[in-house]
Amino acid sequence: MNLLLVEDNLPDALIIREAIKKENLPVKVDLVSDGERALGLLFAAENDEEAMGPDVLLLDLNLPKVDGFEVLRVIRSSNKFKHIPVLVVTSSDSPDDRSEVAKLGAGYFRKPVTYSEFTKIGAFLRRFLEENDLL
Amino acid sequence: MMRSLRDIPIKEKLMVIITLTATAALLLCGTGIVAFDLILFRGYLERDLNALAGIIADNSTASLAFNDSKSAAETLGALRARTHLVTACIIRPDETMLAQYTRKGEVAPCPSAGGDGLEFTRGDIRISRPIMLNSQRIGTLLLLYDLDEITERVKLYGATVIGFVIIASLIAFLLSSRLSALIATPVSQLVHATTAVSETNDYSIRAKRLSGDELGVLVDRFNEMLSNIQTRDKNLRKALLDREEALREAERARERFRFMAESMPQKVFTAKPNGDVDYYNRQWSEFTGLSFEESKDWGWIRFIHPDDLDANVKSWRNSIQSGQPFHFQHRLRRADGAYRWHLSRAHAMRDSEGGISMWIGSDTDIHEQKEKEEELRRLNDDLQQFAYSASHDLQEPIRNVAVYSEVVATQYHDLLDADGRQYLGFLVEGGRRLAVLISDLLAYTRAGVIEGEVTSVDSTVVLKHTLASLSEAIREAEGVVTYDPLPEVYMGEAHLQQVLQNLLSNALKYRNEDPPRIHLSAVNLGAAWRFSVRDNGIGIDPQYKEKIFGVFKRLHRDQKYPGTGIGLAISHRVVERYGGRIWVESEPGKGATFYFTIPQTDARSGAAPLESSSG
Repeated sequence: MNLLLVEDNLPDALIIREAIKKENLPVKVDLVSDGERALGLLFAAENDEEAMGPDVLLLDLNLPKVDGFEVLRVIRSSNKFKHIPVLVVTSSDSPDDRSEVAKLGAGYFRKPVTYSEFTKIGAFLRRFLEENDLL
Repeated sequence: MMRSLRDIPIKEKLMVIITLTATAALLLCGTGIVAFDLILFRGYLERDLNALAGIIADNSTASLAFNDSKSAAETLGALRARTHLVTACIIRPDETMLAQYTRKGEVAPCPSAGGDGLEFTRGDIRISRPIMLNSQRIGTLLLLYDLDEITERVKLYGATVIGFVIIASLIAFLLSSRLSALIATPVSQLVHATTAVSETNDYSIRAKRLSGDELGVLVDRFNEMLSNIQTRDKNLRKALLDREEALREAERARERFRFMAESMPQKVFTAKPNGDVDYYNRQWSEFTGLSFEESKDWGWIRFIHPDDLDANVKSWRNSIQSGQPFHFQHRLRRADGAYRWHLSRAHAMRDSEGGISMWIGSDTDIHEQKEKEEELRRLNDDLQQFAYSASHDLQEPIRNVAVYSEVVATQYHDLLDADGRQYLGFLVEGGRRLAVLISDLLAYTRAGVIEGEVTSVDSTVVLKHTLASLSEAIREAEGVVTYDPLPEVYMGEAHLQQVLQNLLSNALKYRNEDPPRIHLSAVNLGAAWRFSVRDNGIGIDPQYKEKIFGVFKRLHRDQKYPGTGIGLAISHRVVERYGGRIWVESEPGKGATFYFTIPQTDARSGAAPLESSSG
């Protein structure tokens, strides 16, 4: 299973990858650090029938160049990836952000301020994948 | 005569009529009586003279038979007593005279012999009587009787009648002069009354009824008529007075309107129903620098900013057609050429039939308010930008510090000495605390923003959600939360939940040794609902009852009561944003009751919430 992690904050990316590893999830994690690159990857896969593309996305909202919301909107309008499960992983606790993400059909994980809490993203992702029939 | 009679007063007229009528009647009667007496007297005289002639003739038979003129003269001499007998003759058949009597002092021939009988001539009566002896005529007696007796009698009777007529007329005159008052007095009284009414226009005057006859009825009818006129006059006067008062009031109202319009800071105008402006106050002329003539009717459009003009004219025309109030914000050009924002409003004034009689409007300078609004909008945008930045950009590095200092503290613990570990502990705690503070500050910022339309929400349902999310904390504290039925209120659900959650969390958190007992209720104050959250906790010293609603204000640094002190500040901000108020009543050790109010009408939409009973 291919997981595309779109995250510009390396410290966060490291914790997320570590948490996935600790949870023993059967995923291959690819990391891109901005929205433009994430969309580039998706477009390439969309136009190439043989390319598999990612099976699931972990998406930060605050991204350089093209932000997470824009990436999510493009995905939801694409033919190939419009149903792909997306879990938004963000620092924001804004109700507006939460409701907008829910409208775009994605999961929401708020990054906590303690290490032990943050690593719970592994278990959270497992449940998310199970809910989306990927596990 | 008739004409002059017609114009004299009724009293005199009556006197004249009565006197003349009486005189005429008496004269007629008197003349009749005299004429009748004359006829009777003539008959009597005829019979008398015939009888006298018979007696004389009989007495003269012997004298004539014996041709004794002496005895005949003696017989005739008996006629001396009859003073009106002029002469008497006894004539023989051969027409010679046997004897003659002539009234003393009179020289009269015997009347000529004619036919027998009595004959009235011009001035006397001639009587010829045959003197018979043994049915044989032996002579003729001739008598001549003057008519002076008749003349005297007529004169006497005439004089008597005239005398009576004069006396009777005098009496009639005197009586009529008295009796005519019976008619004339009521009439003249009526005349006086009518004259007085016509001269003074005083319809309260009444004629006095002096008789029960037609004049009395006339007086009654006249008085009734006056009474009707008086009522009508009174009504008319009242109507006139009312109208005058209404006109005066209208004039006063006009004056008041002018004074008000001229003394108001706004520019005030009035327009005809078709939209032609027909009045501007001084403020308008001073602002535009032009006279009324230049801006009347539709002349004002030259002061409207070109970008606002089309919409303005369209809106004004719509109002004129529909009668709906005109309400428009636009820029008006000042005399110096500068445009200033104005709020123009106009309302249609309607007559009693609902038609538009005029428009009254004002232009209020809202330029500064507009600028402030714009500034506020910019500030709000900046604040939103800050909130966004804080949500995303600010939180990440802080979280990195907090999380990685924790990683170092756990994974590289052994590489540090005691001091290093303590300092790292400070770093971990400081980072965490900073992250929480930033997060709280953000929540506080968001609490002041109401987005979209506010709809009514059932606060009982919101409370149940809140209790569900606090169930773990309630269970841990062994708390009991009770509540009365709560109303529907106009408030964002998330905001109400935020307030309830903060108050309930505090009530659970600031407890003493006893398990928390918390009760919620709401009271209808008419204009607002007042919610209360009562607890049995440690209470609050009254001197801090204001301070606790400040941002990050905490009364306890004790580890027993963790938190940043943002909860009440957020609740305060939310409640005030909805036009309500929040406060606390408490004494240390006796628990606390937090109150907050939520207006029953949504101030932003003007809608009223549904009726709901309170507990």
